[in-house]
Amino acid sequence: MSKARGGEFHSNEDTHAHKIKAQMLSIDNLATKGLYFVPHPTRLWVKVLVERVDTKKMRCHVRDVEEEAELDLDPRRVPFLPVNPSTCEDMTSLYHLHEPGIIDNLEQRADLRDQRPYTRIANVLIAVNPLRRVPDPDQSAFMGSALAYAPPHPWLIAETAFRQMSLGIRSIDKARSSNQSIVISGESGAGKTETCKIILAYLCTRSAGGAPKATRRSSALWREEGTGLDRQLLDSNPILEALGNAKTLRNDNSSRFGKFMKLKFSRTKTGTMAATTLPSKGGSAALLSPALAARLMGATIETYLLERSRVIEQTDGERNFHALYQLVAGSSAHEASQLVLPRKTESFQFLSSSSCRTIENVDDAHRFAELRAAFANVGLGLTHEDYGGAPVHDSVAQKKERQRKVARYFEAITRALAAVLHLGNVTFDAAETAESGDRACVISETDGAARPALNAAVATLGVDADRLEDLLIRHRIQAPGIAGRKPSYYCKEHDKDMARLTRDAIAKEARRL
Amino acid sequence: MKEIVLPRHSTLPQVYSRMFDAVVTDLGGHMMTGDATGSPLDFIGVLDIFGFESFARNDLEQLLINFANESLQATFNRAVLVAEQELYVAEGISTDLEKIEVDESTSMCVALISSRKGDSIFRVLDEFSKMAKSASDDDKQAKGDGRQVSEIEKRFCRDLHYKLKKANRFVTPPKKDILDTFIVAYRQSGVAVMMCSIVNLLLSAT
Repeated sequence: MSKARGGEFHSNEDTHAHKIKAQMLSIDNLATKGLYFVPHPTRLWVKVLVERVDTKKMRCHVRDVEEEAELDLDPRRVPFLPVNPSTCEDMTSLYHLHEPGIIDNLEQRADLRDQRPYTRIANVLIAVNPLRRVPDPDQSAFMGSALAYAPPHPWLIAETAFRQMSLGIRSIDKARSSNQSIVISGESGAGKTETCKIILAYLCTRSAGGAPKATRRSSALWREEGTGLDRQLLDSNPILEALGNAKTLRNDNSSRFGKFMKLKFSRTKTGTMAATTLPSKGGSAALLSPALAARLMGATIETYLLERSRVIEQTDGERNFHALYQLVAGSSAHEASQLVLPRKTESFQFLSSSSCRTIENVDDAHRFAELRAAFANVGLGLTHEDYGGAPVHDSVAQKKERQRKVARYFEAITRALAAVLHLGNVTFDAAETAESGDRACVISETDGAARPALNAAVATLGVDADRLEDLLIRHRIQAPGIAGRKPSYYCKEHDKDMARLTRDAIAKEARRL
Repeated sequence: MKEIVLPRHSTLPQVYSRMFDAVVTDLGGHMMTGDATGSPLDFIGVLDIFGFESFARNDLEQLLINFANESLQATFNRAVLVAEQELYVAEGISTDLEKIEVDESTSMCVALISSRKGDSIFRVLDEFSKMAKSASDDDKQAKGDGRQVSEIEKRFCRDLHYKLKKANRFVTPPKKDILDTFIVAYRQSGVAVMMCSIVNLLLSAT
């Protein structure tokens, strides 16, 4: 578990020092046998027990409770901040509210013996990643209940947002809408993506009317009872994760992109909604009113800044995007022959430059099957007409047709992934005619694998072989070696062409669906 | 025969990210049930952004990621702390509490990186990427694949250090790195410092 890092709470040094000074205790106020925090050069803050106070020498003899070290401190120079008598769920009610108090509270609550990863400060939820599954609280404590007694949990944030939206509570700046936003931020590895999933699953369940089966995992809940849209929304996650997440040094499933999801609701006056179907513990009249009924009508996803350089380069010990390994490990025999895929990640330069190729406890082949299922569940490749209104009652033929379209979309994606892998294995040699500038390089003849890789890329993309080769090697101009440096090469227009060609090929595939 | 730096190295990531974007677009297009009423729906937005990260050497990507985080924090501070206090004042609610000081380190960082009024990293970067665009081919070529610093990058770095020397949160790097590095301190305590390598920064920004 990562330790809470105190520096995050620092502000401008002057105001910070000023604040600490304001909370410093003079020697007369220090209690013998009392516990205090004092600053420490490397451990940030340490807890000390006051053994003796010498008011004449202005010395305080203390014992470092963690390290069992004894030392003498001068309370005029070292701030002594009192330790809180107990931990708090909501840190606004901490008895002593100061930086070490907040850190200590978080740390104690995250303690492994009785792990409570969530703590709040008013309406801000703080999560300390437990890095394992912890039992979910009782869902009925959130849905339609008085939230004053609900434990800190992402569900609390989600429920609050849901209520404020349903009731049309306007934000304080008097903006016109009652739209809500939940911001999930934190360091890499803090657990943002998981928290996001917990919130989404909750909102989907909530919209569907809520089913307070608290003992079951929320994911199991939506799988069984979710409506089509809920399922699509939650199934979009594995797709985004496979394509946009990767193992980093800090995190086995690190999102390499930012994401903003808008869950759009409409208010419904009818229907059995949570508030009416649930035993509401002290629910107010407002909670029971039909206004609280809101149904998920759609979702939009925006992504930001995919770390695309990862495709070609990874820090040692990290991996490329999950989907590339999953494809190699999990494609069917038929797919593998279509995509000219060997079963070994070592065969691909993009997958083997880092020493890390697998993730502990993760079966890439199994994940590939899940990815395929997710594409099918979301129905990527289908248009609205394909649903024809009532999916439950359509004919076998219609169903078959839909399955075919979905499979083709998935195939297009696997083609694109395979092409990226193959193109990664294409290497080049400098050509004899380098000085003429026009064709400064050729597909490597010395590297026996280069030509087959190009052919494989051609096969997977379904593009013209000569054109692809030409695009790969054209416009490559050699720069003469300056001052003893190795000559280098660069290209000008060629990037765009290549991108366009490949993109067109993918688009073509997609359009054929 | 010499190994050639492969331009696919700039192309393939683009191909990949286009595919990613295409999937995201399709996902989004998929999850709208055509709402017959056409009235704007209320929504709950869920924002899940990349977390702060800092490696031994950082690139434009990290600069932008961390900038996004800082901007978000600054927005939050403004929206929650400042607006709430203004509301108290407007409604004449007096509190015994002294005015809560908004953590200024975030806005200082945002200013250092993106200020339009004064000199900022983005501003200098902007100027220089325009120059880099129109710079002679020789200059670009000289850079090539190497991790060496080109003339224009050196000038960029010099300019950056000169203009931002006195800026808050701008830390002067050790002498050996001064030609190709600048440092942004995200927090006073030094736990969140980012050393940005300018190699490739300019090219990424063009």
